[in-house]
Amino acid sequence: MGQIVKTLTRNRRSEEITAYLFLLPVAVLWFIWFLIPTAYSMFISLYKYSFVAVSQNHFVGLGNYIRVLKDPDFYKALKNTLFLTFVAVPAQSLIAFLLAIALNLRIKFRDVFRTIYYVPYVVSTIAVTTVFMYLFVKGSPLTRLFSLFGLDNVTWYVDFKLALPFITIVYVWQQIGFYIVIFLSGLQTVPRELYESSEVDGASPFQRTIYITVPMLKPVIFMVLVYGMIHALQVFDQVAAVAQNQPLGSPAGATSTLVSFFYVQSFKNWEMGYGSAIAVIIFAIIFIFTMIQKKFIGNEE
Amino acid sequence: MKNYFKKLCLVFAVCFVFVTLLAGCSGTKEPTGGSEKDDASDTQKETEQVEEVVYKLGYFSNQYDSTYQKAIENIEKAIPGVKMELVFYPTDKDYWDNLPAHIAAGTAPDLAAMTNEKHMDFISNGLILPIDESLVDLSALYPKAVDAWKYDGKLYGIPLTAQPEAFIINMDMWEEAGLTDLPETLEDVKEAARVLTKGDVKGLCINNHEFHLTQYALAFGGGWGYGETIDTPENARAIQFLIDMYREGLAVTPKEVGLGWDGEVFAKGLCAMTTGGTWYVATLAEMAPDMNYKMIPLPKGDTYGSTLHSLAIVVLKTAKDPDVASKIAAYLVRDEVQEVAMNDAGAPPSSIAMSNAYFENNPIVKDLKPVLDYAQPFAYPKEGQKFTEALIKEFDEAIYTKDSTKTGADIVRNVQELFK
Repeated sequence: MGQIVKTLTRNRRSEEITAYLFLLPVAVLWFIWFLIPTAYSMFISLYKYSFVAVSQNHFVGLGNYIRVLKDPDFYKALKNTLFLTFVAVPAQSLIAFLLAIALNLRIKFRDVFRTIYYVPYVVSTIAVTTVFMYLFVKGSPLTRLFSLFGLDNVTWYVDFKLALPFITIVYVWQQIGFYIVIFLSGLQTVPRELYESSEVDGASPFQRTIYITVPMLKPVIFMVLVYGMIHALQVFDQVAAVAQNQPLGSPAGATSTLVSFFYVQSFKNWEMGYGSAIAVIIFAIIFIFTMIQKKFIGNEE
Repeated sequence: MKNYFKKLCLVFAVCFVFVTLLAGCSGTKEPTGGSEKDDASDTQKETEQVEEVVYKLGYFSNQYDSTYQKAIENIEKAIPGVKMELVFYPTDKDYWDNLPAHIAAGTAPDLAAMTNEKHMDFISNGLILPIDESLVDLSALYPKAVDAWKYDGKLYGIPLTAQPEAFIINMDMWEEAGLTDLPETLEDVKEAARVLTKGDVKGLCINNHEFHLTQYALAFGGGWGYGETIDTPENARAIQFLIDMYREGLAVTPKEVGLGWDGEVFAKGLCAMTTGGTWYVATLAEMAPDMNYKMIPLPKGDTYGSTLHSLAIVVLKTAKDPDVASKIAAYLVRDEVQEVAMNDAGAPPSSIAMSNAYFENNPIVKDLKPVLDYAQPFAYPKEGQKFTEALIKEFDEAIYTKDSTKTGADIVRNVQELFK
C-alpha cells in the first residue's frame, strides 16, 4: 500500500515538474515583457517623466492622476470609448450570434461563407479602415444612401458627429468574424436531441432559438461580452488610420479614445509620466468592467 | 534512471527553445556560418576594416532619395574611416513621431535631415547638438536659412535648402472661369474662389495643417512668436478668413475628399488654388504633367507673408562622435548635393549662388524669389507638437462641426491658454 502511495506521489511530482518546465519560458517572458513594464509604468506615473529630458524628471506623487482627472480631453476620450464600447459590443455580439446560427444550418457553401465572414478579422485594421474611408467619402453611394435617411451627404470621418459612428461601424464589421467562430463553437455543444424534442413538441425556430439556444449558450455569450468589452476599451488602430497626418483623435478629438489619448500624451507630447498615469487609469477601468462581468458570470454559473 | 534521462532531455529541450526565442528576439546580426577558409578570409577583411565606423543619416520623403544617395557618395575618401548608411522613415509623421523615441533609446541615426518646423522641440531638449560653424562657409549660404537653424547663438543645422512658400493656381481653371488678373490680395482670392467653385471643385484647398495656417497668419501680419504672440488680432483674422472660406463652401480640405495632402487635391483638379511650396513642381510633374499652373507669392492679407522652409543636416545626440558627425554634416550639404536636390526634388538650394541660378533657370518658380526677402521662421512654441495638436484641433472643430460658432479669435485665445 505504502509503495503504491509513494509511486503515485512520485508520478504526481514528476507531472508537476514537467508542467512547470513547460510554463517556465512563457512565465519568464511574461515577467520580462509584461510584469516589469507594468510595474515600471506604475512607478513613473508618479513622476514628471520625459524620455527626452531625463535630467528634468522628478517625483510628483499623485500629481499626474489629479491632472488626468481634471483634464477635459480625458473625459472626452472616456466618453467616446464608452460610446464605442456600449454600441459596438452589443451590436457585434448580436450580429455574430445571428450569423453563427445561420452558418450552423445545413446550407450550401457553408464553409465558404464561414471563411468569408472570418477574413475581415485577419486583415490589417489600417487596410480595412482605409477602404471604409473611401466608401464613406462625400458623394459616394453609401453616403448618398444614408442621406436618404436624413443624414448629411458628407465625408463621415471628418464630420464631428459622424466620425465616431464611422469608427464604430468599421470596428464592428471587422470584429464580427471572430465572434462568429466563438458562437459556432458554442453551438456545436448544444445537444441536437433538445432541438428534436422541441420540434416534436411543435416549437417554432424562433422559440427554439430563444428557449434552447440562448440559455445553452449563456457562458459563451458572457465570454463574448467580456472579451468584446476588454477589446473595445482599447481601440486605437482605427483612430490612427482615420487621423492620417492629422492629430490623433481628429477631427477635433471626435474620435479620441482612451488609448489614443494615452499615446498622444506619452509619445507626441513626450510626457511619459502623465501618459503612464492615463495607462494605469485605463487598466483600472478595464479591471473594474471585467470584475463586474465576472461577477455576473459567477452568478450564472 | 530512464525517468531522469527523460526529464534531463526535457530540460535541455525547454532551454533550447527558450534560448532560441531570446536569440530570435535580439536584433544583433551575427555573421552566418561558412567554411574555415571563408572564416579566415572574413577575419582578414574585418581586420582591414576595423577602423571604419558606420554613421547613419535619417530622412523622410522619397523625393530626396537621390539627394542623399549623392550626399553620401565618396564619404570614405572625404573623411577617412567613415562609412555612411541611410535610414529612411516612410512619412514625415513616422519621422517626427518616432525619432525622439529612437534617440531616447539610443537607436536613432547619428545625423538627420530635418526641416525647421518642429526642430525647436529637439533643440530645447538637447536632442540636436550644436555644430562648429567653422566647418562650413556660412557666408555662401542664404542668411535667413542659417538664422533658421540658430538658437542661443549656436548653429544646430547646416541648411541644404532655403524654400519660400508659394500660392499655386490652376491656370486652366482660372482662364476657363474668365478670370484674367492674378490675385493680389486675399480678398481677391476669395472673390476668385466664388467664381471658381463649381460642384465638387472648390476655389481653394485649405490643408488643415499648421504649415498652411501659418502662411495665412503671416500674411495678415501675425505669427506665433515662439508661443508669445498666438492670441493676436492678426492671427484671429487669418484663421477667421479660412473659416469663412470653408463655411461659405469655397474651400475644401484634403481629408474631406479622401486624399492625404493638398498637392493631391490640386493635382486631381478638385481645387483651383492652394498654398504649398516648390515641392509641387516634382509632384505635379508626376501626377498632373499636363496641368497648366502658376506659382506666385501668397497674395497679401494686411501684408505679404511666408515662412522660410529649410531642410538641414543636424547632428543628433546619438552621434557616435559629435565632432566627426559635424564634419559629415558639412560634407553632406556640398554644392553637388544641393544641385541634385534642386533638380530631382525641386528644392531651392541654400547656397546663394545656386539659389539665384535656380530661380533664374526655372520660370515656374521665378516669381517666388522675392519671397525669400520677407520669409520668416515658423516660430512655433518650443513644445511644437503640443501647439500643432491644439491649433488643428481647434480649427477642425470650427470647420467640421455643423453650425459651429467658433471664431478665429476663440481659437487663438484657446491655444494661447496652453502656452502662458
